[in-house]
Amino acid sequence: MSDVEKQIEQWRANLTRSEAVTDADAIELESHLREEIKHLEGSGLSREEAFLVARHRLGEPQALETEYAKVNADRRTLPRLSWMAAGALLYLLGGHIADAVSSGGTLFAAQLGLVGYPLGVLRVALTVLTGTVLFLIVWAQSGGWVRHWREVRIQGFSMGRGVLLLTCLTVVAGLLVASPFFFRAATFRSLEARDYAPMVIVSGFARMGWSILAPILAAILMVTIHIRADRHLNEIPGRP
Amino acid sequence: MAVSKDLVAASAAPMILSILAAGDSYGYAIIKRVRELSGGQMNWTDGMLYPVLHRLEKQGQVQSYIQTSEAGRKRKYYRLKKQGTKALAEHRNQWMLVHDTLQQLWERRPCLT
Repeated sequence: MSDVEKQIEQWRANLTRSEAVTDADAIELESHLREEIKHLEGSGLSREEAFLVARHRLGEPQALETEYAKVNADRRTLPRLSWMAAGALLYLLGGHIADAVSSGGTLFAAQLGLVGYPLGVLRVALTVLTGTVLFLIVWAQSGGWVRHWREVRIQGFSMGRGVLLLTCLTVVAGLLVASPFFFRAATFRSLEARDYAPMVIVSGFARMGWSILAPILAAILMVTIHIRADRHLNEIPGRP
Repeated sequence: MAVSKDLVAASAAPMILSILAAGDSYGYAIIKRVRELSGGQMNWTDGMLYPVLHRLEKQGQVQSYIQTSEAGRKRKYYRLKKQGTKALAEHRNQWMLVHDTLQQLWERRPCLT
């Protein structure tokens, strides 16, 4: 493949990375680019020069995306909804993982002889610790996941792979949701009521704290995203 | 003399519709035609044509179809629909009105007495 062919491929891949430009749009733009290159070559430019001029005449990818986004507003709503659903799913999954780890840890500690308030504190600490670790992992890895997902979206998703992924997810989710119940039942059976009750009181208070804190955190996140989005839009050249 | 950005944006739809009224065409040919007719003065950013075409298609004024060229390359052609013809007539009336008004303003000599 020649250098220019590689550059054309790169240019097109860049365009389809945006939600606003579909594959069909990119094919149309590429066919335009190729005709312009041919035309410019006819007037004496080298292939490399012709590519550069043609790309410039087509316009900045960022500006093109903005124009396409105006026409394809509905095309952007669905991906946004799917990201929101992915966020909600991640939150649920994180909650279940934290629950599984903390109730498993509590059972283990109870077997070792820890009871009452300290056991409650351990349980809350395990939940917070797991939640924080999961959050940090998602924070650090989300960029890579998003890139991977976009590549999958461009290449297409086979039915077999989808079914396999869904089956795995269902099994994991089932185990995650079910395991805390068994851990809790086992802990309850192994402790006296007066040893078990303080643990429940501590975790109950922690739950109340989270119920108050979570909406506040969500509101702060919402405002931050809003401010960032505004700044991002203002940076796009040519916007009135 | 370069035509201002706002004027280019405002005239894009009537120009596309007028070119398609003369026969089906595709993006590259439409831009080439505009360039020829304006003597290279109407400088569109080429990529901006396509969102306009897609908007016209969404509004039911034009219809696209794929056709393979002699060279075997697939091209997306656009055809004017009935609603597009109507819209073009409306554009034409508006532009002629603006044109006539300006012409009268610019041709009439100020009366100083």
